[in-house]
Amino acid sequence: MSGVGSGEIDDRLHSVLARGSIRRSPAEIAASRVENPLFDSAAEPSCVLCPADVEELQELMRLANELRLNLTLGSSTGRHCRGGNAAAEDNMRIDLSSWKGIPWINRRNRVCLIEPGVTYGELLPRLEAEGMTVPMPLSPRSGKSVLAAVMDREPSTWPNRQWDSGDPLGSTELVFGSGERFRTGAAGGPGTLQAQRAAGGAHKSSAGPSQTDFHRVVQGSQGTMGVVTWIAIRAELRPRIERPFLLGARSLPDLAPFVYQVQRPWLGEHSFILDRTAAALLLSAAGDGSFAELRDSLPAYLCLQNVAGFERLPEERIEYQTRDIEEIARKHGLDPVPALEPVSASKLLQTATTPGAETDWRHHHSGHCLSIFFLTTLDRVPGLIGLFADLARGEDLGEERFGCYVQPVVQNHACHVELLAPFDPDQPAEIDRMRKLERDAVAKLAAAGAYFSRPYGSAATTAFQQNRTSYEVLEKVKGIFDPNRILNNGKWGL
Amino acid sequence: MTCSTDEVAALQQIVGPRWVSTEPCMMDTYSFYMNPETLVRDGGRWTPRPVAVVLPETTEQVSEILRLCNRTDLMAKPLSTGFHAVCAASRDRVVVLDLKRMNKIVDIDVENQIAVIEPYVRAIDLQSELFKHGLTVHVISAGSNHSTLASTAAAWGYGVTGPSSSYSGRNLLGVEWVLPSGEILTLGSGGAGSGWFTADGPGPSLRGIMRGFQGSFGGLGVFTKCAVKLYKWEGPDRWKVDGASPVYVLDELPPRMAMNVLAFPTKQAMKDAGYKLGEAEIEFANFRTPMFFNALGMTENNEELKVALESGIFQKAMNYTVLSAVVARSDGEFTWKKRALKEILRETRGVRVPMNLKVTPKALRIAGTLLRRVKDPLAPLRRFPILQDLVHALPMGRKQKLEQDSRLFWLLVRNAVNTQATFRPSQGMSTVLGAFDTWDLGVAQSDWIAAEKQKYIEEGVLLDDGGDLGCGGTFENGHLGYLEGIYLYDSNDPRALIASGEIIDAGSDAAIEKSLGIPIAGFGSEMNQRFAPHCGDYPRWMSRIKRALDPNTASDPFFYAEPEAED
Repeated sequence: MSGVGSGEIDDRLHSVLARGSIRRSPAEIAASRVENPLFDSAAEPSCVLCPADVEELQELMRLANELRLNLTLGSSTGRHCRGGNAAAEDNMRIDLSSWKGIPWINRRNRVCLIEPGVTYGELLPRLEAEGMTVPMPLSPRSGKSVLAAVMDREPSTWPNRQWDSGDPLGSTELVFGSGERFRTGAAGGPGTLQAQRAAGGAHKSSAGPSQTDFHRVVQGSQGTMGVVTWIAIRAELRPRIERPFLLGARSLPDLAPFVYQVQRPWLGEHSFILDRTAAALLLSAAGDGSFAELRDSLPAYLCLQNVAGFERLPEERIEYQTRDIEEIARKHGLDPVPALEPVSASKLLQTATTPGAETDWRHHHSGHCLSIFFLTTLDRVPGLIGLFADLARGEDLGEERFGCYVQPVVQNHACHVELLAPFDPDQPAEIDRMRKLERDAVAKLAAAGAYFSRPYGSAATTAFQQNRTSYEVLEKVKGIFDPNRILNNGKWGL
Repeated sequence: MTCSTDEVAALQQIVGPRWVSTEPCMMDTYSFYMNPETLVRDGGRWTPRPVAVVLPETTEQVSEILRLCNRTDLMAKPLSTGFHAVCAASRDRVVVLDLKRMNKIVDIDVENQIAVIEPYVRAIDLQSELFKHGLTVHVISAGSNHSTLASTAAAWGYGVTGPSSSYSGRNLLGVEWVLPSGEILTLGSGGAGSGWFTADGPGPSLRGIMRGFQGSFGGLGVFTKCAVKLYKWEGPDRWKVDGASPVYVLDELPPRMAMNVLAFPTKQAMKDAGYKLGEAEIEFANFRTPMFFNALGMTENNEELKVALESGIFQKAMNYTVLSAVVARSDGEFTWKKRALKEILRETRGVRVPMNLKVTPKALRIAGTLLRRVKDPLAPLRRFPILQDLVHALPMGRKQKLEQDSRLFWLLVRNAVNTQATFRPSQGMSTVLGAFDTWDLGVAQSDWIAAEKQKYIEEGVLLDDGGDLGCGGTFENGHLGYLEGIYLYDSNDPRALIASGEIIDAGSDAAIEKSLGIPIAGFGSEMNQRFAPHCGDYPRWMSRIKRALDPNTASDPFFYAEPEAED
C-alpha cells in the first residue's frame, strides 16, 4: 500500500470523502486499535476514514481498488478486544460507527432496518415502543454494534428464536471488496425498498436473490469480503410478563437432559448455562456483588430458563409452560427456583438481556480475559470443558480462574461454548501463560471435536487447516468478491 | 450425438457395466418431465435426450464421473427423485447421474435432532423413521416421495409444516459436495470432523455460493450427502387406518391434535389471521387452500366436483380458507392453543368449518338451492362463535369428521399429496410468481396471477378454477410467508403449454414492474438474465462462481449459470 500522506493518495481520499472525514489524531487512531495483549502484533491503522454515506463508501472502495489500499472495518465503539479487524498489514480503518440510522420499523412483519453504528442500547428502546425486541448476545458491551454482532454470527440468549445460524439476519445491503453494491435476500428482488414494501414485502427473507445467498459469504468473514451498509433484523414480540427460573447443578451432565427436553418443544424463552465463575464475572460486572462472594455462593453450574407471556393470553401461557418445565425438571432431579441466593433469576435475566458497561463483562474483573469459543453439540460439551479445565490446572490456574458459558444455538441443534480465563494484562507472565493456554487449548479442543466456526486468535489457523478443500474454495471466493484484496489483505492468509 | 465407445467404457469402469445405459428408450424416460416449458419453448413435451444415464453408488464414483467430464466435453447432470424439468439434460453431451442407489439414511442423531442422508432418501421414508424418535422433517409440497436432500441442498420447495419446520434451504446443517472439478468438499463442522451440526464457516460460509433461495439444480457439482435439521413431533409413531388408496381413514385422530378448516370472510381477515396465528405460535402446519382446491379435496371425481362448484357453496364460503393443524405436547399446551385459536377467530371473524356434516353431491345440490340468496352461509357462525363449538360438539357426523380429519392429517402431517386428485381435473398444472418473504406479499402475488389467468380461462386454454388458485402458507411462526399462483391446463394441448410459457413470462414482467420478488421459477440462465438488470446483476456473480469452480463446464450449466467468459 502506498503510504498515507503521500500527496496523491491524500488528495484522492479528500476528494472522495468530501462530505465525510479523515481522522488522524493519535486519540482517534488509538480508539481503533485492537487491545488484546494476547495478539503478537496487529498493524495499527494509519488513519480513520468516515464516509458520509454509501455513495462515498463505494467511491472509497473503488479508490482502494485503484490504489491497492488496504482497508479494515469498524462499526462498534469502545475497546476492540476480540480482534476481528486486526490487520496483518498497513491499513486504513473505515469507521461506520456514526451511521446511526434506524430507517424502518414494522410491527406487522416484526422487522427493522438498521445501519452499522446502531448499538443495542439505541435499538431496544425504539423496538420497545412498538412492542418488540431482538435476540441479543449475553450482555453486550455498550458500544457494540448490533450489525457487527449479527454479521459475526454471535449467539443470542434466546435459542428457540434462532431457526438458522444466520438469524436474526434478514436482507442486507453490502458493498463487495470489488466496490460493487449489492442487496441480498428479499431486498435483492426487483424494485426499491419502498416499492417492495408497498407490494407487501418486508425484506425479511435472507435468501436470494435467486440462486445466491451472498450474505452468508459476508457473515462471519470479519470484514474480508464486503462492507455491510444496513441489515434487516427479524424482531420478536417483547414479553408482557416473564417468570424466569434458575436451576443449579453440581455438574453439566446434570443439566443437559433438562436442556434437551425443554429446548426440543421450544418451551420457555431465553436459556443459557453459566458455571459459577462465569456467572460471578457477569454479575459482578453489573455491580451485583463482589466476584469472590458471588462465586463462592453459587452452585457449580446454573441454568437460566425464562418463561414468558406475550400479547395473547400471557398469564395462561406462563402457567402451562411453567407446569411443563417444572415437570421436566423434576423428572431429572432438578428444582427450578426464582433465586439461588444471592442471585435472582430476574436479575440475571435482566443483566443478560441488557447492554452492559463500556467494558465487556468478561474483562471487568481482572482487566482482560482469555476467551476461547467454538461450536459443538450439547452432549459433547462436558468433555470439552473438562479438557480445558485440565489444561488450565496444568497452567496452575485455580478453579476460580477459569469458567464457561454454554449457549444453545439454532434451537439447540448446536451449542456455543465459551471458555473464559480472566487475567491481568499488566502482568507479562500472565500474558505468556494465557498465550500458551490458548495455543494448547485450541489445538487440543479442535482435535477433540470443537468446531471454531468463528475463528479468532490462534483458532483461525487451526480452523482453516482442518478443511483444506474448504479453504481453497474460500480463496477462490475471496478472489471473486475482493479481487484486489483491499479488505484486510492477508487476514487468514486470503 | 452419443457417447463414444471409450466414454461408455470409462463410465462402466467407474460404476460397473450394469449401471450405465445409453439405450434410446431409456434415454427417453429421462427426457419427459413436468413443466418442460421451462426448457423447451416450442410447446414440445420432450427435453433433450442425455447421451448416457449412470447410477453411481458412492461419493467416490460421483467424483470420478466429474473428473471424467473434466477430461472430455461431457457434462454431468444429477437427479434424485426427479420430477420437474430442472432434472433434465439441457443440451447434447450430458450424462445424467441418477442417484437412486444412494439411498441410505447415514445417521439420525436423536438428541441433537440431525439426520445425515443420501440423495435418494425420500421424505416419507425419513419421516417414518423419525416419528419413532419423536422427530420429524420438513417435507415440501411436491409430495412426501421427494428427495429431502434435493430440496434442502440442490433445489427448492416449501411444505405445509412451514410454521413449525421452516423450509428447505434453511434446514441445511451440512453437505458433502462433489465440486465440478471432482474434488469432495464437506462444508462446516462436518468438514472439520466435528459432527454435522452446522454448514457454516469457519469464517465466511460457503453455503452462500452453494445455494440461495433456489438451489443450483445440478449446475455446480453434485451433493452426495446432507445433514438436515429435524423438529419435534408430538404425535405417535404409528396409527391404525382403514380404507384403500387414495382414501385412508384413521382409527382415531392422535391425542392433542386438531385439524381445522378455517374460513375467513375477507382476504384482509385471512391475511390478519396469518400474522396472528404465527405470533401465537400455535400451528404445526397450515395451507392456504383456494376455493377450487377445497371443492376438489372434498369430492371423489370430476362429476362430483362439477356439482360442488355448481352449488355455489364453495364460492360463497370457502374463498379465504386456511387448513391448519394444531399439535401439542401436553394437555395444558393443547388447551392454551385451542383457546388462542378461538380468540384469533373471534378477532378476524373466522370460522372453524364444521366437518361433521356429510358432503354429498345431493346434499350440495340441495344446500345450493336453499342458500341461493344467502351471501355468506357461515355468517351465523361468525356472528355467534359459540355456535361453532356447539356444531363441532354435535354427536352426529363423527364418522364424517374422522374422514375429514384423516384427509387433513395425510396432507398436513404426512404430506401425502393426493396427486391423482391434483391432476384430476386437467392433467397438467404449473405455477408462477411465488417469491418468499411475507404473508402479505404472498397474497399480493396470488392476486396478480388470479387476474392474469382470466383471459386464458375465457379462451378455454386454462381450466376455469375461479382464478384464485393461490396456495401457500406461513413459515417460522409467521415470520415469513409465501403463496404461489397455480394454474391448471391440459398438458396435451400445445396451446396450453404455450400459454403456460406466456404466463411465466408475464409473471416475470409483473415481478419486475410491481416489485413482487423473484418468482419460484426465477432461476437458470435465461430467467437470471431477465432479472439481472433489476436485481444487482446477480447472475454476473454466479457466472464468476461458475468459472472459478467449473472451468471446464463439467456440470450442465443451464439451470444455474453459464461460466463468465475469460477477460
